Amino acid sequence: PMSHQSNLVSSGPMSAPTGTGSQLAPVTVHNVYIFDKNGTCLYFCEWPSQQQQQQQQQQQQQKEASEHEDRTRLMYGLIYSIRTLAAKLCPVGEIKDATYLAYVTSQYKFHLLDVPTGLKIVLNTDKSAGSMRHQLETIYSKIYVPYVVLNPECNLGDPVSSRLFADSLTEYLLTLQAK
Amino acid sequence: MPVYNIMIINNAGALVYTYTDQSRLLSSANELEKTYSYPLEPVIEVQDSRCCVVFGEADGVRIGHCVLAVNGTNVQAGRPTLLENGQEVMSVLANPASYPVSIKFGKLKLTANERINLAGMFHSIYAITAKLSPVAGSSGLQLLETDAYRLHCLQTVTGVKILVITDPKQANVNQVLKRIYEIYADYALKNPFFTMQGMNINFTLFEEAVQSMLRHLDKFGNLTNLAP
Repeated sequence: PMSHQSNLVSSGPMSAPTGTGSQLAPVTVHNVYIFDKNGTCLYFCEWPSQQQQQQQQQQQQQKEASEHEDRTRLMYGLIYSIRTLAAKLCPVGEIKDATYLAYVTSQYKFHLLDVPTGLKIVLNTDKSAGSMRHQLETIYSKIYVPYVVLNPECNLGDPVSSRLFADSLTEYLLTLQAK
Repeated sequence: MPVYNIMIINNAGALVYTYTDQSRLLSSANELEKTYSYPLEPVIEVQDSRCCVVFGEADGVRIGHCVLAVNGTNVQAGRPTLLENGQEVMSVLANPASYPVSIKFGKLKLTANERINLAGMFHSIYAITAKLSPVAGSSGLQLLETDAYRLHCLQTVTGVKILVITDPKQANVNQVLKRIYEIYADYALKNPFFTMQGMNINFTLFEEAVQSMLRHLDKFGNLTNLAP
């Protein structure tokens, strides 16, 4: 199974000071998806909160694999439609920087980085996160590229199975929450 | 004007009201005209029944730009793959004898049909975003942020969605959403001639109330002292 059980929710996300020098407010990351340009889900990892972990333990997890596949397909469909919608609805000509897009709901914030090669990185965080553009770009350039693209064992287009990648991504996301 | 666009989508996903700020319609500042010789550098294809650049960005011509005119002849308003003189854009561009050719690129305005389609798309996207939440009990998307604009959405308890597209720096949009809901309730729902079967909202008092709200927002920046 792809989901880690480690609990990354920090105890007091609202208590840290915001914006002092290079310190950013801590952000709770719920999950990460990486899709290639054909819609294949290359990587998925989630960090459920404690409440959700209890709920999941209570429920049966028989249909986990097919549910996961349904969810990734739905997510890719959403990415595609929301980008089309955002581009078409633009009232002032065109969006200068169409690579980053975010939306907020009552419970979470969704960030999407669309890399020029067609790779899409999705991050779901808590509502109060600011723009995660810089963080998503760091994930791409400092974690995905070195550990996956430059890895001769990883074939592009196949789901990422590199343990090094998973660990360094988890470590980076931990730093976002720890401050 | 502080608000670019207002849309109201009913609980079935149909668009029942649109307001577009006319003063901020795409100006000719976003258009550009370039002359090309054969073979054409930007690759132009027919997408969504209009001719768009799909490859070969150069000199300000970007992917997504549509052909607005060829050699001075504009495209037809209802059918952007045809020029006003009846010729097809793609066949003119494919014919080496028509070169050198000057093409005007820009962004075509959204047609009414496209708006209706987008409203339906948004209706589904709202439901999907609620379903895909990593945390239980989420609403659908309430705010879409891009560099050029922000889209705010208020879903009422009856499933009617009110959408407002504004500048990213516009404040107090929640007041605007609530006020539009009040106007909808007063001038549309309570109107005996209003039916719920996907009919467009076309009432003078409704429009006047929306305009008065927008003028107030423009003048004061918020809606706190709006006269009822």
